Amino acid sequence: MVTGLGEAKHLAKDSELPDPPKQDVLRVYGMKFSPFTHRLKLVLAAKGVEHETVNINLVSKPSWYLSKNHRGEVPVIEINGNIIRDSIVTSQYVDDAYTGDKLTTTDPMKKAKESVLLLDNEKTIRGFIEAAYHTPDKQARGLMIMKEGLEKIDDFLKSTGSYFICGDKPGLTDYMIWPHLERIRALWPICITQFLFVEAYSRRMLRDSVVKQCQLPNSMHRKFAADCRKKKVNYDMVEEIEES
Amino acid sequence: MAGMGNERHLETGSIEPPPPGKDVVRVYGMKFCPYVQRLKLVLAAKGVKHETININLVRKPEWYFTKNPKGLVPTLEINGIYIYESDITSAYIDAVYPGRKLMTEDPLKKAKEQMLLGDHAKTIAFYKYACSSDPEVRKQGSETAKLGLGALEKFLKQAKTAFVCGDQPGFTDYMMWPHIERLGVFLPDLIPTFELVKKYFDDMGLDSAVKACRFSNELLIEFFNFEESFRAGEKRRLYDCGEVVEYSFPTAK
Repeated sequence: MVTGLGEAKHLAKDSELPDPPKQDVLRVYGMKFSPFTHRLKLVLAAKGVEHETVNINLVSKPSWYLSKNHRGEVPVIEINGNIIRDSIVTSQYVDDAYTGDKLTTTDPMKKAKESVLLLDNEKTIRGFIEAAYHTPDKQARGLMIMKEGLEKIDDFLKSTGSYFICGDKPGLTDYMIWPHLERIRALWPICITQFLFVEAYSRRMLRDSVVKQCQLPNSMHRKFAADCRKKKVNYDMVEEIEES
Repeated sequence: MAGMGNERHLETGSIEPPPPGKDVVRVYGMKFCPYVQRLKLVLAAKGVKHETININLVRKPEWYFTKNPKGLVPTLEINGIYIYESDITSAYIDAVYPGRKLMTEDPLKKAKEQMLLGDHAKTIAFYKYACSSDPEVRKQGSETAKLGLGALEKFLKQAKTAFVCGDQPGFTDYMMWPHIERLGVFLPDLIPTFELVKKYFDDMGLDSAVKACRFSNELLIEFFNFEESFRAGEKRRLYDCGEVVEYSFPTAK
């Protein structure tokens, strides 16, 4: 059973089109360090869905990949000749299509509030992307935007008083939000600790078996961000021994 | 009470309306807003009685920001709770109220509809361009809208159903309809070039929820012309186009 983020080599421009997956086999096209692929991987792990992974070199994309997703993005699910793209759409599909605990909140009011939070969280993501790709002296604006998003999560947890965004256990919205929190924790731990509820929430999430299954060491998150800044990404890097 | 609501658009300096009664659904909207129309279509399709308060989006009442911090429409108010965003409020209404479930349940179909909705965003872009006096910009808008319609044509061809959601209009149909309706008014030559989209356009026009929320082309054009003069720099913006309904409570100071 392939779990976690998948250790498959990232296929690049010179690669050949892989054979399609066998009947009823779910294949994920992803990238090991992508927070969006991470979302889907968390959901697959939470539902215990066996799947295969094909990793894509996003800097030097295989030409055949554009026939899977004309936007060239990851993650994408391929199953029985069907292509599904977008991290949220694919994650929702897995929760809907497979048996086991439903990760999606059913109470309409709670679900609506989680949807609003997910929208507000786009600031966290936008700010993160901006800050991560700049050198420390130019990160201020990105960090500011990112903190506005984190504050929304903090306010949400404070107002609901629940252990996780979805309630007593992590649910779909928790897994949609976690990948960026994991990266923020690695790059700027202070940004997490300054928000009391987000900090406590992060510690709880880090004890979740699903989160642990898909977690990357902080050092790898930091190295990947640094490599992106220098435009020298090595997708197939192995874990370096560094203080976490 | 179905329809977009002809209630007067409240503006800066107006008195804050009293809260709605217990369990009463209130929609804060704008008569001609396509995003509000999404919610209105769902309310009509589910037969949900509701009251409407319309908001002047250029001179927003100060009190409105306490309902929706972003000051956007639509916002739903029920028993002191506010929900906003067109898709979130629409999904909420579909989930809470009895009657036909508009949301597709089959996981694969649902995923495909969500991807289509993402592609549909290309028809929304035309708005920016259609009111330009520059023919080159209008042409660009038309080309962008064609991409969205092309995606819909492809979807309908593969699905082989009358509507996006199946044999009857569903959630995704209602999310897409307001912008497609406007395309039909402002770029009338575009839709007929797509065989299945043309049929879809005509079939949607027969749906009772669509009919309940639809204005005449003339009224939409009248509103849009005011919008165009607004963009050209004129200060006035006439939201209260056509019939106007007054509120039962005082609104002006």
